[in-house]
Amino acid sequence: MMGNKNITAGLLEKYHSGLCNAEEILAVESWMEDGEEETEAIHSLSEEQEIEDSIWAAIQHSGIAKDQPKPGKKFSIYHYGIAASIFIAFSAVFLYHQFSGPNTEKTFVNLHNFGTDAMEKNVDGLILTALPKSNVHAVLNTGVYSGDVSFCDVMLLKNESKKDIELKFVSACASQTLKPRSYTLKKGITYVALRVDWKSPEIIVVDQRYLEDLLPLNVAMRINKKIQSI
Amino acid sequence: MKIKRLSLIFLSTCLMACQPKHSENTSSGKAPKYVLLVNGEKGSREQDRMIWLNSLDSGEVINTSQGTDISNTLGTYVIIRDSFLISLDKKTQTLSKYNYKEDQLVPSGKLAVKGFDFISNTVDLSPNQLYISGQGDKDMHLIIDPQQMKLLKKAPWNFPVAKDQFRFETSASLHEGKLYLGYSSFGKEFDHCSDTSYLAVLDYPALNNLKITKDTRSAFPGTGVNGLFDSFIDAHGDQYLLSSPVFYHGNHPKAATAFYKIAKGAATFDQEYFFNLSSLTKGVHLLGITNAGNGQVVLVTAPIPATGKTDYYIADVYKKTLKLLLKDQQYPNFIWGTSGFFDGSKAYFVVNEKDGQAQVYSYDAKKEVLKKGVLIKGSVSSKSSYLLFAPKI
Repeated sequence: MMGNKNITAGLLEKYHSGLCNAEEILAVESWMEDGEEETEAIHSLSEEQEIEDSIWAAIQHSGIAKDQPKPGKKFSIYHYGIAASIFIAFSAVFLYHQFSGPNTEKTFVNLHNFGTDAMEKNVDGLILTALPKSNVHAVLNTGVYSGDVSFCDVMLLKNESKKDIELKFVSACASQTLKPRSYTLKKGITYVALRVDWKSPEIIVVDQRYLEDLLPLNVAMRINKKIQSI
Repeated sequence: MKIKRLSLIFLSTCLMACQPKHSENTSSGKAPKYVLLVNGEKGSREQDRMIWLNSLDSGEVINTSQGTDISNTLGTYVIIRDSFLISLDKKTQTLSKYNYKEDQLVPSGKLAVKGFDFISNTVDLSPNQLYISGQGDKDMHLIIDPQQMKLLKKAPWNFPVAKDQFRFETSASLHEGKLYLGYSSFGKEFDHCSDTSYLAVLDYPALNNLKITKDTRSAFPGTGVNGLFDSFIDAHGDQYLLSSPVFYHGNHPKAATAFYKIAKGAATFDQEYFFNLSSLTKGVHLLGITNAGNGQVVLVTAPIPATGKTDYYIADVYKKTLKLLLKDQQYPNFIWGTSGFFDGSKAYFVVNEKDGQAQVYSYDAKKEVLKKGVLIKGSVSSKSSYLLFAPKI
């Protein structure tokens, strides 16, 4: 006997097209006639958690500061040859700059904000802001517009440099190990990076102007209030 | 309580019988009647388009080649009216007004609203007075002259809430000379809303004679987010207000999504009326899409735990019934507002189907018929959202 879970849109279309077998017809008609079904007042906590998880999963895939594109195409030997050449050339340039030039100088940022005002650091146009009672740590390759950032809860990043900046966000706070995620921060845009332990399982980086597009109202309000308080 | 699923037979039959046919929806000689605003990707304003349509009932539009590119024009919030729209830029805290003209949005004034960056509700108090409530560093409401783009008032409401709670306005309407303001509250961490629905009623235009009542049958009376459907006034003058305790809004899982009623002339929620929608969906919360007329409203569920998909329903607030319209759909996005529109006869709403395709549906409440309308193709995806309206130009 088919259960209610098996009543899909496809089965309904099949039913209305007269293509169901006897068992399917019985299942659909029983389901349609079944008006007096059990009515629970609310869903269970576990179901509520499932709903939250699915919504957060959708949010993770919607960050405005895009995840860097992943390689998807298969390469031929010819392409591998070109890639190898480019890799060697870039490695040579990288090593040259690593040992001779000032561009790969690493800047270490440690903001431990125990106060009630914001604490910020401007590194070549990338302005990192630690909100009250939060920490931000960054290792920035200032010459090549990239680096690693870790933080707790929420932080702001304003890109006032001349180029887009690629940042890798590594585990924030120490409650659990998170997979690092890389984002491209476009020049001229202020971003909010957040990771709320009890809500978001991963780091989200979003254009501050459109925070409410992606986040549940209450989370957006909480972050807005934090930002407005500084 | 019954969910009258038998009507599904009729609806589904119509769905299959009424497949859209291609028509030159955007290029005939007559003036287009409708506007479709497309936000290509939530969290961004870089793929926005305005498409003028002759009809919502048939045809096909291509989001990438038809209409006008309005990317990076509209801000976080958009207030849609018949002859203009107003956009709030959250960063500059400025309201920008645009008139509709020949497929274009024509800038026609700006107004700085320092300290105000979140719109909850808007109400037309008069042609020269637009009420806008929301948040800045605190709970705030504005009254502006939308014709001249002048600020007439900016102040907080000092309505009571529980100790250590922040008031949050969830709904607003003007009816029979009274301004009705639904509200809830959040604690310092903005985790869950209060379990109490508040209703404040003031005389308009004096904005005095304040009356506040409370109700705990549901929570978060309204949505508190600009452009989302939350209420309608029926032909009898009664108001029906949809609560939104869903995770996305009030985040009060123990409360049911429900319709409150405010009888014509009353200043309190009707204690004899309560329409618990969640009890008909095994506890899953719902969001309103649009009024459909005849006491009916199109709604969509929060994601169903087992599938992650959503179902569309039509609710009848008189009969207290829910009828299934569409099953196992993608969860919609509501950037700038819900994708629903009621033209006085039929309700229209947009459903993302797959990458490169979204479907406009129409629902005729009198005939209880659901049909497919315009097919939207091009650069749309599950991350796209839409606004439909009929401007007067």
